[in-house]
Amino acid sequence: MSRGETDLLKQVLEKLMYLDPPIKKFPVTPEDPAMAVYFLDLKDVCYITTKSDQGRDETMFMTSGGKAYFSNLRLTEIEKRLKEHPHYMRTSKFYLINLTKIRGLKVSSARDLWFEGIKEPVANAVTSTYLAEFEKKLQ
Amino acid sequence: MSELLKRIEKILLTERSLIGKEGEFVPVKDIIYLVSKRGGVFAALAGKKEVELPGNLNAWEKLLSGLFVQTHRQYLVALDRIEGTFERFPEEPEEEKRLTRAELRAKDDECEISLRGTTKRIPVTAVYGQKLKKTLGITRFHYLAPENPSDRALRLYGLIDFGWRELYSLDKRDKAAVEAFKAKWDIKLFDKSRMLSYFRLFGANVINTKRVIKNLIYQMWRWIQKGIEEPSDGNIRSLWYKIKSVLAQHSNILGSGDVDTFYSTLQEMVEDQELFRYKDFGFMDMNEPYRWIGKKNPEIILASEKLGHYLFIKKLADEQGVSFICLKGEPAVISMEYFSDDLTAKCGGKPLTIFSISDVDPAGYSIERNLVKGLEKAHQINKVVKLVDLSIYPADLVSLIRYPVVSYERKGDQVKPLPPATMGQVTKARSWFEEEINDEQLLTEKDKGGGWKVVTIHGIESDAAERDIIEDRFKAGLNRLLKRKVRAKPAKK
Repeated sequence: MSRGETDLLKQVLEKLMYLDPPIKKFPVTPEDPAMAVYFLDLKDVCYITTKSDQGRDETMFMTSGGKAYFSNLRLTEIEKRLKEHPHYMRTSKFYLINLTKIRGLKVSSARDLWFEGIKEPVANAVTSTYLAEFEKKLQ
Repeated sequence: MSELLKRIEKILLTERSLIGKEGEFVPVKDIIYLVSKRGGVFAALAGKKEVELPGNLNAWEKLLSGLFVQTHRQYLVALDRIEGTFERFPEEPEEEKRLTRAELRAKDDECEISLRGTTKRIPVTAVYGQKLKKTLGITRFHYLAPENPSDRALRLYGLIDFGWRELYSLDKRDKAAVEAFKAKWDIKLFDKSRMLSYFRLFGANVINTKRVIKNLIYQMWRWIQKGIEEPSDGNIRSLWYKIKSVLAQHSNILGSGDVDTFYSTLQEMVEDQELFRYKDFGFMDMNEPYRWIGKKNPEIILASEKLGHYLFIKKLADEQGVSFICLKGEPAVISMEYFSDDLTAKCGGKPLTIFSISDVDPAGYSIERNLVKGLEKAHQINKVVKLVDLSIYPADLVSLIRYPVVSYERKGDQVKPLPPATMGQVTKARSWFEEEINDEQLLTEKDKGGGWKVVTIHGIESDAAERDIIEDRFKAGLNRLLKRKVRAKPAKK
């Protein structure tokens, strides 16, 4: 197989990965305490961010249905787990976003993003450090 | 190339249909799980009748690899339909027994899972548990790891902080929001099946009453703290009736006999676990009249174990402007909470000095120790001064005023308690004598024959001490203390 064909296959594999991501669910705290672990569909998640309630640091998964789910993993650890996931990328110190859920963008000093099903935009969701990579992925 | 093919095949598989034994077409994406039973394999579909498939479960496991995962020898479940994990309870009641490490590990690999499209819970057995955990990217079935330390502490003690996140952001002035929150999370309103889902007794399909009570108390405390529940009217029993009457209406799981469980659980949570205080519930202190915070020297406390000393120590404390507390035996935890808080309010962080009047016997010393222990929770203790000790009694009177605490027979290292004393009482008395007293005036021995001796440990009531001497001792000790205080103060310029 020529090098050109290998590259092509790689690209096809990448595209397939987009259709069939390697991770589809993420374990989070369930809403009902009768359940021990809830597996959240990553396709429903708009963004993942840090949250501090009642003095405890957690990571929040915001879904397009407006529901929030929580994990005790740090954002960097979640980023590592979703490294192979083509829909997700780190866009700031505080955000990991699902590219397939973006419905609007506003250029400010950073980038404010609107997500599917969520009325309010996420201000400064993409900061300068991650901007180039973000724009590349959007193309 | 093979990776590429695998991926394409997996994607195509989701679009395929399986053909049932009767020739029915069953789309793979409609299958919730496959179950092997009655010698056949059946595909469970959302809202439709099961379809029997040809072949065995092993063959389907191979064919559907990557989309389905085996959780039990009878079950193969659709991975993308897995919603959550639950504790796996045995179907038949189990005998209570201590599990070995291997059995505990195996239990850790067992659970039940819920699947989108069915209310049936599918069992996960230890054989398949490890692989399923790996596939789902988790290390524990029974809680989300890593776990917050406070969640862990609550879980291990069997508590659930129902709706804590909502409670945290709840505005207590918003009556509608508070009502909605309570309607959703008030344990007292749970029906029996919901109770069972949170508080099932392991090994039996019944509700664990103690756990329900524990959680009711904890929820009550959380809500009082938040200001969405009124504290008690001061009486512990009325709190019990409040809980019991509502529960009787909704889930009928508590009987009148559970009142003892309620009291012991509350005591355990306050005194052993130190999760909260009696005072937090608004319970009143029946001993309130027998304590006072001094105006001049609040950090100096005159304490007696006897109510009979009330007028005596009140007068002394009033004269000197010090605090006092009159206990009725072992200090009640609730009294200590109130007294300690009052002291904090009046003397801030100043270390406390305690002048104590207690019987010269094991119980008297224990009461004094527990008084100090209770205050130590919130205060630094500078000094404890015993106003009554053996030296207060004239030596020639000791043998007349002492009374036997315990008697036992001794031969070498062998010790036998003499009724009514128990072995526990003898051990306690001996250690008190050896560590605290060690004075032959309070120990008598008589030969019994055969190498055995009858030993009696004695005590003396504090009431047998001259009150004038107690008063003198107190005043002298107080003077020394106050002089030191003056010396320690920097001179004003």
